[in-house]
Amino acid sequence: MDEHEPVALTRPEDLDEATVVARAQDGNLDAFEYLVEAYQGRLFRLAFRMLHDRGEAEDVVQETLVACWRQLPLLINVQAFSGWLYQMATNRCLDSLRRRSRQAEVVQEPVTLQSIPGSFTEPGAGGDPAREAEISCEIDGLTTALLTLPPGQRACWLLREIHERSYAEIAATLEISEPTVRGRLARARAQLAERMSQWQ
Amino acid sequence: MAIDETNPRLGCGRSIDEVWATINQPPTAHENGCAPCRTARGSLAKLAEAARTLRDNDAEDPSLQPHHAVKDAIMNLARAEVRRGNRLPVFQSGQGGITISEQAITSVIWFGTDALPGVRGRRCRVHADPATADALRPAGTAGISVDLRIAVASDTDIPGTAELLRQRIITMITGHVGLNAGTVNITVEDFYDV
Repeated sequence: MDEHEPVALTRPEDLDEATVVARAQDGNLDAFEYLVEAYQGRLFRLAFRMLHDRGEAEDVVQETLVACWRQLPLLINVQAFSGWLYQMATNRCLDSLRRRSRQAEVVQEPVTLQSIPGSFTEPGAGGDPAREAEISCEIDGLTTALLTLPPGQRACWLLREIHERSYAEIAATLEISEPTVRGRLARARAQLAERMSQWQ
Repeated sequence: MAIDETNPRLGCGRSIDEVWATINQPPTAHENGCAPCRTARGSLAKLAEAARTLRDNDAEDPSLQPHHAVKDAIMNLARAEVRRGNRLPVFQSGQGGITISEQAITSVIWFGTDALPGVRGRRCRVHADPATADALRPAGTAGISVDLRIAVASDTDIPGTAELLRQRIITMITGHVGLNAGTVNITVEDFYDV
């Protein structure tokens, strides 16, 4: 073994996530950057579907990942990393919605994403215009219905159906019991199904 | 929050949860004969399909990513607040000294673990040997102790591998950093492939 061979670490993408998290905890910036890349899209999608506002969703992502960097050394169980991030992001979304309701703001027009040039959702329907229109309609119906749910139900539904978190993880994220998660999900599903059938 | 706990029920007494649980299976005899169940199944199936479409579409949609300025801001802040850990004395003379950050030593140690098949170096603490911390020292004689946590592949011979790793870390710290790792404590905290 050459004692003076250059120190080149295995790239984060070739490691397991828990090891990458541990290295970020010890201040390794490459490991942290990898985690930012891996999670920023997921956290943005959660925040955007919670808040329906691009700017606020980006704020949630930035605040969550900055808090992540600062608090990472305190995280005891590296396996709990993704649940911990989702919890920080979800709480920030719920705080934003509480601030909005305190300010008695007007109902958000569900068009903020479409209004940004080049950011319109492009459904992946393989170039079939009829199917694309159908997908677009399906998504619009669901996302509009989603905005009518109370924030706690919306968070439960998004974490379960879009982010595929377990009931136990959602219960930990929202600091509620599993039966409460099940209750909220059932109500959310009933309400969404009803709203969507009304519009068809 | 009692209202949140309530599971909505259909006219026949079944809960939405029960209908949802078997939405991907063929309808039961009850469901075939029960109008509220048939309606609920139909609308829940549509919801499940729309949820799948939304999930797949959002995950692929390039516009549903934060602007790159968001990542830049996060990384700029992380760099500004970078944590390098303790500074450890490598060499101390009457004219001044040389110190090295804990993070730099940790990188050397991770490099050592990465080169061993079936071993992943995780959290690492490095302490200066109290006996040598402040004294005047020629290069190559200051002592440190290392506490390293690792994860291993489940088929690893743990005692043999840990001993090999310990020797490798001692050699590398001497070669790269000019310190003596008198104590290297290794904790196997996990199997990374289970």
